[in-house]
Amino acid sequence: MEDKKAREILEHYKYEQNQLIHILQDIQTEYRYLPRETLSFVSRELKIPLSRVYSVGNFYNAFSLKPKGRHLISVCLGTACHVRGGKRISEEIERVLNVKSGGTTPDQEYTLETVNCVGACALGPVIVVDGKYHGQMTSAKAKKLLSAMKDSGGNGKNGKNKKS
Amino acid sequence: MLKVTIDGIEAEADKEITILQLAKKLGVEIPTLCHHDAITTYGACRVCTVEAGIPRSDGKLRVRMVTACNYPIRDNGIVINTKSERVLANRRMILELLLARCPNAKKIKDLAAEYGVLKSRFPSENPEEECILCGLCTRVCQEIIGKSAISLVGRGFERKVLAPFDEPSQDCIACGACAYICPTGAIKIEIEDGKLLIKNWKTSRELAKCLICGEYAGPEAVLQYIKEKAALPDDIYLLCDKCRRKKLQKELIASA
Ligand code: SF4
Ligand code: FES
Ligand code: FES
Repeated sequence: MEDKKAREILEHYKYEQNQLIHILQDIQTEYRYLPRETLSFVSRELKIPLSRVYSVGNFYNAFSLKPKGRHLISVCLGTACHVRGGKRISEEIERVLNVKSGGTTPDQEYTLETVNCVGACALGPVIVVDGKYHGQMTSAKAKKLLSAMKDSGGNGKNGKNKKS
Repeated sequence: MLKVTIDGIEAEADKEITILQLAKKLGVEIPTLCHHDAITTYGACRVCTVEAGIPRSDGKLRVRMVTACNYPIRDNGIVINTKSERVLANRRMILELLLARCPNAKKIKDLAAEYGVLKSRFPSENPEEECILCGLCTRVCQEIIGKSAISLVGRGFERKVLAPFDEPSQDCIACGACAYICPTGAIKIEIEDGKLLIKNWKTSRELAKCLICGEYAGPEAVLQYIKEKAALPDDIYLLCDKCRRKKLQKELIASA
């Protein structure tokens, strides 16, 4: 199957093998994950073995092999946030969205993940919603934030994750 | 030529050969798991760790622990020790860690036992694990076979060797080179219903029968691959080893 968007991305990078990571980044941004067929397509076009493309796609946290939601919620469980109750917040969000950490809601709206330190320890506990940092988080605040997002149809209106 | 002392033996070595290469030449034994002479070194298992004393300008030695398989000899007067107390202590620790990962892999158990390590103080995640993630299988597949059907995937605890998407790979022809080279026997091959199965990669390939004796000659995909690579005539590639040899012998004698 011809993958038009992937073709454009490949053309932009002139089919250069050493641009693999950039190419995968653009594909991740475009589709919000790395679809299987696209990885096979990239492997064929760049003449890089699929096993290598797969292993690169698997290695970096920025890539996902499963579809991600329109909104990305990252709960920090780095040391500082952890001791201030980050875990409780992630559990609360899991409960509200009814999705396990690392998972995506069936309507493809929200992906929940945990990360280890986002470099804002002084603000901890921190959650990052579509690239925006929210400090001094509590379960109650997180709940409010989520319902506000739902009401406005989500806060990142362009629907793209700044950071994945 | 550089002057080298290894376990008290004075020797000469070409610049850039590895400690392991020199040791082999001199008959000094160093254990290895992830090294194979025909394949790029990777330095994953660390059991080949030895002590290297590099001469400083003040005449003293700067002693470091290095992996023999990928440490190139560059300094004149380097003093290498493969059996000092420090080396043995290091090696025992490395073996203990490997044993924690693969508590029931025979090769690891035997090697650890050689160094007096019978039990690991570290907990095991999975008693059935036999893979030490040395990557020899992925490298033989890429470098020697030219297929790159499998790769090391994931990071940290999650790391494993897989075919893409953990599904049967188009690229895997079931040649079995990975199982042959695996230092721990972690790769399982079976023959079932006329097929060769490599469990780890979920490979299943039809076996071809020898045109003469009817015994299995090998996976069809492998024979086909060899045929293309070596430009073999049609009536040769579908024979088993024995019949092929006989046939070629006969032809050779007839033509003489
Ligand atoms: S399966 Fe064997 S050869 Fe492959 S990485 Fe594991 S131990 Fe090494
Ligand atoms: S631990 Fe959460 S920002 Fe550093
Ligand atoms: S043999 Fe040297 S690190 Fe494995």
